[in-house]
Amino acid sequence: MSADTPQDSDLEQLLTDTAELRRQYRAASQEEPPIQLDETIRAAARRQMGARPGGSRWGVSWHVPASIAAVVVVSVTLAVMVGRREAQPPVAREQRAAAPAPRSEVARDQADAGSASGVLKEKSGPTAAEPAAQPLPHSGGAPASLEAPPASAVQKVGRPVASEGKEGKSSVGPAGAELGAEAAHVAAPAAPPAAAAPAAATEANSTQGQSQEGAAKAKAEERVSAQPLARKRAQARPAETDSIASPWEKDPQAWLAHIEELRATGRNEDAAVSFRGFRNRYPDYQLPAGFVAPGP
Amino acid sequence: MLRFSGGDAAAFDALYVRHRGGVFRYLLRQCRNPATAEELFQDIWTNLVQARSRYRVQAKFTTYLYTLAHNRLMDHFRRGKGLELVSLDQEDDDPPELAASATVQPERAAQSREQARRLIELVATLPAAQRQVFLLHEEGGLGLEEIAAVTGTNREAVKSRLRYALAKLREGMKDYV
Repeated sequence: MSADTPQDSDLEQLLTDTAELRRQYRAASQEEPPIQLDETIRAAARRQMGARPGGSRWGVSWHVPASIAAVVVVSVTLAVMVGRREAQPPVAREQRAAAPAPRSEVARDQADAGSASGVLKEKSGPTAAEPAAQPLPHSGGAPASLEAPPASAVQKVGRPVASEGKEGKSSVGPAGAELGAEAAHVAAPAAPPAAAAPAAATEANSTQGQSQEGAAKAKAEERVSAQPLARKRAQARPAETDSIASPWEKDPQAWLAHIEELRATGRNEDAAVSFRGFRNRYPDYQLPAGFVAPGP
Repeated sequence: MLRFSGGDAAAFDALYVRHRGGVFRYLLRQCRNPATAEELFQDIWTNLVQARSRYRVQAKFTTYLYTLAHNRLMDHFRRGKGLELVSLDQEDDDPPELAASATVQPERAAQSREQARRLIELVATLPAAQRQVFLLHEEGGLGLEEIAAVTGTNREAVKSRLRYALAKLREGMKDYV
């Protein structure tokens, strides 16, 4: 209110002389803005500031770091999952895809204990979680007459599998035997590659030119499926764990053919060694009728 | 103001309560229309809120606030909405206008109220530049330097205008003192 510098002494004097006048003015000047206007301005100010009196900075600041953290966690998780998947050999991946779920294990046990018709009835109406257990009607323990089911029965089984993408082609398979073979492929997920890769097998079966080969495989698989379930599981385990074996070692038939070939070329010792390896891998495999085991 | 610019709504309330009356009367005395004064008043505070993030500590908050008010008022006058448009650069060496003092009738019932009314009238009759300096000094509590900063003039001009304004008011009120 007072003058700012000593040179303002005249103004200082004037201010002193008019002090009473200025007091009267301040007493007379008492107008205030309307209360409604006050409320309007304050509300607008709160709105402008996000209505966060006090710690408004915290309310804003945690969103960005939380979003970044969430994105990082999801990205890393996906990268790890994809990396693990890529690291697996293709055969192992397919075997895992064809591996039955724990629930299907129970269903398989039930299938072992139950009759074929009962199993077929049960499998004709599977739940969404059961497609992996579809091939189980061919699992071991069933009477031999059930190992090559009629086409209608297999198709009953095959239909739910058809809803599983690639396996869908099996429902339009050419013959009941082929369908049975295909079902056997799926039923022995850890079996040799042809059986462990249902997608490849079904693709092969989808053409008539390859149907004979499928039939031959079906016969071989019928023998496999005639064995008890425990045996098939025992056969499956080594194949799951040994993904770098020789091509013939993944297929018992091919392995036996390889042994025969060794013996035909006079390499009897190699044939014997290979046969011992075969027995280690497939201890319960039923040898073909014409096959003579090489031995020392 | 720093707390307010940081988003503290309570700080805004404190500033508003402290300055609302002075700013409103400054506008009311200048434009002499309550409705217009309210409109300008709301605009000023809204601008203050919107510009809070750009606020830099270069002067007292009061100086900053009255600068906003002054600029808004000048904008209002430039648009032809004001009652008068007087250049703030003109020198106000004309003698105080005391014509109204002759019309004052001392027969009023309450002399103090009459004095107050007369004083307000005298302020209204001051030249715009003198009135502005007087109001910034009395309503805003600003010093000469601060008034010069608000009005964009030099300190000596402010001092001269204030002296003239006070002289005119004293002359106009001599019948009551």
